[in-house]
Amino acid sequence: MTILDPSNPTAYNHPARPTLNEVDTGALGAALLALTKEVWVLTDRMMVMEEVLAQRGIDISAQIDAHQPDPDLQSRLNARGAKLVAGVLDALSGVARD
Amino acid sequence: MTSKLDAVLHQRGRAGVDFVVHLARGASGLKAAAAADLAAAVPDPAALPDDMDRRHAHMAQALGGSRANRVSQLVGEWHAQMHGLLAREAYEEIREAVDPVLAQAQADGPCTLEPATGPMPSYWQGVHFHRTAGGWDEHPMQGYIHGEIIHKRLVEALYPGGIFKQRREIAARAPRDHYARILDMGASTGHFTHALQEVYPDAQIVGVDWSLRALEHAQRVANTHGWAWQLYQRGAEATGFDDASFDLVGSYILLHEIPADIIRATFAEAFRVLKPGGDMIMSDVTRYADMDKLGQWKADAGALWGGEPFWRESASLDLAQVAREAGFVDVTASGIYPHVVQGRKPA
Repeated sequence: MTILDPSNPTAYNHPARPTLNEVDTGALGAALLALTKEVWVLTDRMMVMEEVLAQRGIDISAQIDAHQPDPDLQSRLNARGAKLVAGVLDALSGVARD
Repeated sequence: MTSKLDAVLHQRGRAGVDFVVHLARGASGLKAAAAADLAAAVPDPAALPDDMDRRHAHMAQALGGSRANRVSQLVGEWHAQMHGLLAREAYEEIREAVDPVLAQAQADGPCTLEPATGPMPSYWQGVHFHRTAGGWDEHPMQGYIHGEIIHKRLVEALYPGGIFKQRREIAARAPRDHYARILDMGASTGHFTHALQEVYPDAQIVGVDWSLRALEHAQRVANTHGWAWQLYQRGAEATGFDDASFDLVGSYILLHEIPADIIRATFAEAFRVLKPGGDMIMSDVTRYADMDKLGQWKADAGALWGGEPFWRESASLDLAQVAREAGFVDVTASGIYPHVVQGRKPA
């Protein structure tokens, strides 16, 4: 591995950090598919939602941009986000899920 | 409490920044697996090599078979590369609305800011501390991006109430109830300066930092509150202020960002500018002396991959001894994080 030297502090900006290797390729593919599925579920839901609202004469895109989640929604977003991440990372790392 | 400086993000930027939080929280299972692999790989931390570079090489080999560790490295690397860029993207979405507010907050008020006229030091220039994209000063609104989006939305979410509460508690540890004139070394965007002003509301506060972008945001914060801070783009090691001109000199989590010789110079500078009988309070990261070899390696690896060139030499220093060598008396050092060193200039 690369040993960085503080006498050249800018070397810390973009260190050559080892992460995954060829052994991880299969798990990486599984994680990618898990992520793609989640993205598709959300894309499908968004398209359906916008279509339903448009049929009722409501354009919500500007309101979505400006909307600030209240604590309850933020809490639910946080829980969903962590669950999404855990699904991907657990697939990538091979961590067994309950 | 809300402020006109608060970042009211749009959906894409907000969700992007929040994703960094989700990434940390969602990695709990991964972290547990990586920790189990680490414990199995290092049954006796005391047997690890003494030399830190050799320890890194040893650990790389010991953990080479741990997929959880490799994925954990990936998550850490993604965070390091992306957190600044996502915060920047979030700002770009709202800049049309927020820029006039920020310009007014910087211009209207009692706080002054004097930019540097000379070159930046080699230990600072071009270094992307915390691996923040472009470093502290590349983006013209980096102070706002770092102070209001990264710190208040991202860091605060991961350490709720922690970082700002800590600053106020440390500021209140200075022994006197009132200080007429306070110097904040490494004022940055003004988070500790803010805490000092809250604890000592009558004090005249002066702040120094090498980052002009950070100080510009500190100026906005001060003006918004009506505080007459005097901010200077200068190093803590050579402030240029008169001898014996401050009653309290402090810093909060600055020292690990500067080399050991500059840390010694910073303590000497604090001693010089304090009035006889004046107080010093410096806080920084956990000392390597307070950890076992495995803990030291974890901290050092975090620094290695986290844009912290001077963490190792800083965390290896006995700051109480450095303070005594600078001339301070009644020196105390306490706490794991933050590690707080206090002392007094003899009357």
